[in-house]
Formats: sequence, C-alpha cells, structure tokens
Amino acid sequence: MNKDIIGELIAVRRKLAALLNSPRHSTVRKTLNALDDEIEKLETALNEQRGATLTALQQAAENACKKLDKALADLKKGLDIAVQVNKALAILTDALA
Amino acid sequence: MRLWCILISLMLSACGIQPQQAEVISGFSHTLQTSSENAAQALQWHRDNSLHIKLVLSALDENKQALNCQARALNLPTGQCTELQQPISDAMLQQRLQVLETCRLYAQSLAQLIEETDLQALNKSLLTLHSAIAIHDKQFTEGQQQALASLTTQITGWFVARERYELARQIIRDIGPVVNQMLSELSADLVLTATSGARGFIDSHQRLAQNLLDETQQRLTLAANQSLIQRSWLFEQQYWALHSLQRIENESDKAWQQMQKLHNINQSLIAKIQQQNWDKKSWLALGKEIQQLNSALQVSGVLNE
Repeated sequence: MNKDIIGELIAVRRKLAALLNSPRHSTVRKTLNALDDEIEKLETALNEQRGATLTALQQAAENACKKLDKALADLKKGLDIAVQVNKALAILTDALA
Repeated sequence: MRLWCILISLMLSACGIQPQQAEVISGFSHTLQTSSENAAQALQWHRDNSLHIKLVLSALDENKQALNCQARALNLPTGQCTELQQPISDAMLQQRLQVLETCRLYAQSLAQLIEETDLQALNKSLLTLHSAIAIHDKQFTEGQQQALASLTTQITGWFVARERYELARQIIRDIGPVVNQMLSELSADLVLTATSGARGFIDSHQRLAQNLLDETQQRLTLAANQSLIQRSWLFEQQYWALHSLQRIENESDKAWQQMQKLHNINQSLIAKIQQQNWDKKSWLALGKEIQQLNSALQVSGVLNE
C-alpha cells in the first residue's frame, strides 16, 4: 500500500520539479520539500516494518542455532574420543606390523 | 576377520556423509559466507551514499541548510541528525547487518561441521589396520579376534560420521528455510522495486540520487547567475548523481542474480536433505551450480575493488 503511494508521490514530485523554473520559486519549493518529507516518512515506515519482520526471523534462526550449538559441542566431544581411538589404532597397527 | 573389517569400513562410509554431499554443503557454506559479506558491503554503501547525497541536497536547499548547521553546531556526527536519519537510519542498517551476520554464522558452523577431518583420519587408520590384520589373519586366536571385533564395534557404535550427517541435516532443515526467508526480505534492500517487488534501502537511495540529478540539472540551466566555482561544484555533484544512479542499477542487477541463485540452491539443498535424496548425479549438478555462483561472486568481488 505504502509502496504504491510512494510511487505516486514521486511521480507528482517529478512533475512539480519540472515546473520549477527558478530555485527561488518559494511556493513550488515549499511544496517539493513537503512532498520530500512525506515520501521519506513513508519510506522510513516501510523500512522499519521490514526491519521488524527481519528481527523476528533472526530471532527464530538464533534460537535454532543455540540448540544446535549444544549438539555440535557433543559431537566435538565424540570427535575428540575418535582422535584418541585413532592414536590407539596407530599403536595397534605398529604392533601388528 | 578380514571380511568383518571390510564390512566395518563400508558401514562407516555408508552411514556417514557422501563425499559429493560434503562438497556441496561445504561449497554452499562458503558461497553463503561470501554473499553475506558482499551484501553487508552493499548495504553499507547504500546507507553511506544516501547520507552523502542528503547532505549535498540540504546544502543546495537554503531551507535545509539551517538543519545541517544545527547538527554541526551541536557537534553531532551528521548521521545523528534526526532528519538525516530518514529514510535509512543507523539502527536500521545495524539491524540488517546483524541479520547478515546470522546468515554468515550459520554458514560458518555448517562448514566447520562438514570440514572436520578427524573422521577421515579415523577411516584411514581403520583401513591401515585392516591391511595389517590381513598379514596376521591366520595367527589370531578366537579371543584376539573377538577383542578386535569389540574394538571396531565400539568405533562403529558411535557412528560419528552418521551423527555428523544427521546434525548437518538438522541444521539445514531447521535453519535453511529461515535463512531463505531472511534472504527474500533482504532482497528488498538490495534489489530495485521493479524486480524485488518491495521498496527498500536501494529504492530510497535511487530516489535521492535522482533528486540530486534533477536539482543539479535545474541549477546548471540557470548557471549564468553563478560563479565558476559554484558551477564547477554543481558539475561535480551532477557527475556524482549520474555515477550513483549507474552503480545502483548495476548493484541491483548483481544482487538480484546472486540472491535468486542462492535462494534456489538453498531450496534444492533443503529439499534433498528432507527427502534424504541420494542421487549422485543431482548432487553433482548442484555442486556445479554452486561452483558457478562462487566464480560469479569472485568476479564481482574483483570488480568492486
């Protein structure tokens, strides 16, 4: 919704800017500035809205990551044991050779 | 005994992750890390250049010069001036960068998990042991055979390789779809509305650059009233506006292609992991896609420098 309004406001702004034949044309300049402010407010609102969605998604990802961090730590322990077994196997292999 | 050892080795490799799968997941992790870093740089540029253009526009506008001066008089960094914080504030930028950092960390843990080499060393040792046993096979007593069998049972009992694959599956299954949603949302900040369908940082940036181009063109048509220094400054700003518009288009095209490919690759990976689809050909094809994207990312990285 905001997206469409912004598009229309930008089109109006461009038409107005084309009418502006002097940078000191105060009425047109004032209208342009007011339009710019309105466009920026709407854009800011849209950016904040999407920011809220992103924060929620990020929270979900981080929660899942926390659970998996623990599992990863357990696996690391398993791998440490595997390294020890690896050493034992090397000794056994040497003994057999 | 020899057969038993062959069986153990086969079990270890069959239950774990296949080399092609490991290659694809590892390639994807690195691609996601690079893409996250590139996207963070692009977002930073959109914010910084928007702020720069806003300052130039306010310098061009007598009404807004007061605001700029106020920020300076209060000794505030210009970015903290309320008006200059619109439409892309520092807080918004930091929040997007945090999202990208989450994507990068996800990719990093996935890569660490897949690229652990301890298991490969263990597999190699088992094979060496198998060769050594083969020489002495006939000399083993029943008890010795049992002792060795129980040792190898212990090793295979952990099924570390399978655990690793299971964990990788779990990570991809749980976080992969959220990462895809985050990438889709972030696309709006990196890809122009025409393609992304939603307005974001890049659209605000483009609008500001277009405003600067219009303003400078307008003033240059009235250049007769201005000094040589003023005209030269206006030309510089006009050049900057044109350059920004061109770069915004390029960045948008690049981001659109990369985000689309990354999204599709992630989607295929999630689907394969969920369906437990082990089809060597299709994994190889996915690996090829990742390689192509990686090359494209490297090329665009070089161009950026």
